[in-house]
Amino acid sequence: MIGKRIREMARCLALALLVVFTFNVSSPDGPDFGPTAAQAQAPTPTPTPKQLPNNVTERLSNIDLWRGIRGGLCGDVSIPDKKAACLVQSAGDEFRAFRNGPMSEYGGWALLAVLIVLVLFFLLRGRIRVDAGLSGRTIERFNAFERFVHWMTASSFVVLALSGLNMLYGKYFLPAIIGKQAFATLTLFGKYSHTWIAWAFMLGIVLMFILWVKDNFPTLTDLQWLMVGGGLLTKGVHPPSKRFNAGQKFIFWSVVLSGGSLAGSGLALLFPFELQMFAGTFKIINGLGFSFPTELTPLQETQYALMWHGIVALVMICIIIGHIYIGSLGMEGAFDAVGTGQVDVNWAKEHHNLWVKDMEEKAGSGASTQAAE
Amino acid sequence: MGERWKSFWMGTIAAVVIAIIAGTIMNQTGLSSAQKFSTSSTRL
Repeated sequence: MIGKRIREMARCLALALLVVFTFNVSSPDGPDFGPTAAQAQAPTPTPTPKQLPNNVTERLSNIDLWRGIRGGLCGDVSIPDKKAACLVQSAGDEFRAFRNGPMSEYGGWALLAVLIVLVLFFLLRGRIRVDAGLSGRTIERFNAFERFVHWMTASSFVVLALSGLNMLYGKYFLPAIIGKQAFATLTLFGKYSHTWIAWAFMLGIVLMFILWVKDNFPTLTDLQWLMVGGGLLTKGVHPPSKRFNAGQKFIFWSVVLSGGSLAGSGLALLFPFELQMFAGTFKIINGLGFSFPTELTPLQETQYALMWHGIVALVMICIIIGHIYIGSLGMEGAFDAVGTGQVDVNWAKEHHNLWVKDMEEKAGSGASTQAAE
Repeated sequence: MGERWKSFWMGTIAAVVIAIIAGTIMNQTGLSSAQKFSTSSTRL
């Protein structure tokens, strides 16, 4: 009896639940369990733009438009800041990833490798001495103006290199050492120093080219020099050389070419949106079968200039570290060439014998040399 | 020391002088932020 009544009550409860459930699904205000078959087949109504005051039509959100903007689609602006036409500069992601990734990483390894090679070279070879000993007589290697140009370029390069390295690597360790505030001040000061002293560097590159290009064209003598490694690896070996040997010619052309390239990309960075060099350069390179992009936004131009500027600068810094080593610690008597300008005759004969011969012939026997003080 | 480093100091001082002149000129000729983001000539 009791069981029969319980079964009747369960039937009533189930019926009530079914009624409530059916009502809620069909109700527009009820819980949403997905579209019904009828709703799924019905076309999606297209929202119509609203008419706003002053005859302005509301723009509807367009997924394709925003996808394009995210992909670098730019519009047009009439304010001086033309880059404002690009709401999202997506190429910046790739630029930042490259700059903070492979460029910084490989550049750092290259700098470290150069330092390690130089330390090993010094430990194995030691300081390269004048084998015949110092004669006490000197010969003028570089005149006052040449030395002035060398040091103007060198000192500006040191400032450029240090401030540039700080921009690339400083953030990784300097804030922890000197504090964030000091790092920010240092970097700001370095940025201004970088852009201002660059003019002295560019002038120096031009002057060095004019002064020394005539003595830096490759000759067959350079092959002899290269065949024995310039005599740098073996004591007592002194291959013939004119005013500049093959190693110095390599330094000269590296400085002129990479310095010129740094100057070009640096000017593009100093005057962004006015000087743009990469689209035109890529068009020329593509003639050789490459497929670089030739339609670049002003910001992409700047990013390419920054990448190129950084890569060339890192290469040049590596080369100049070697130059500084061999011109100071690495070789006895070498610094005098750009110090006083007077080098020992025996040093000159060992490293630039053909040049000494030319000088002595021009000035008469021994007339071009003087006793050292 | 003096004669040995004379060229170095002359070159370095020249670089600093050039940098100061260049910096002064660049600061005078560059667009200020107010000019750069000006909307006074905006075409609407």
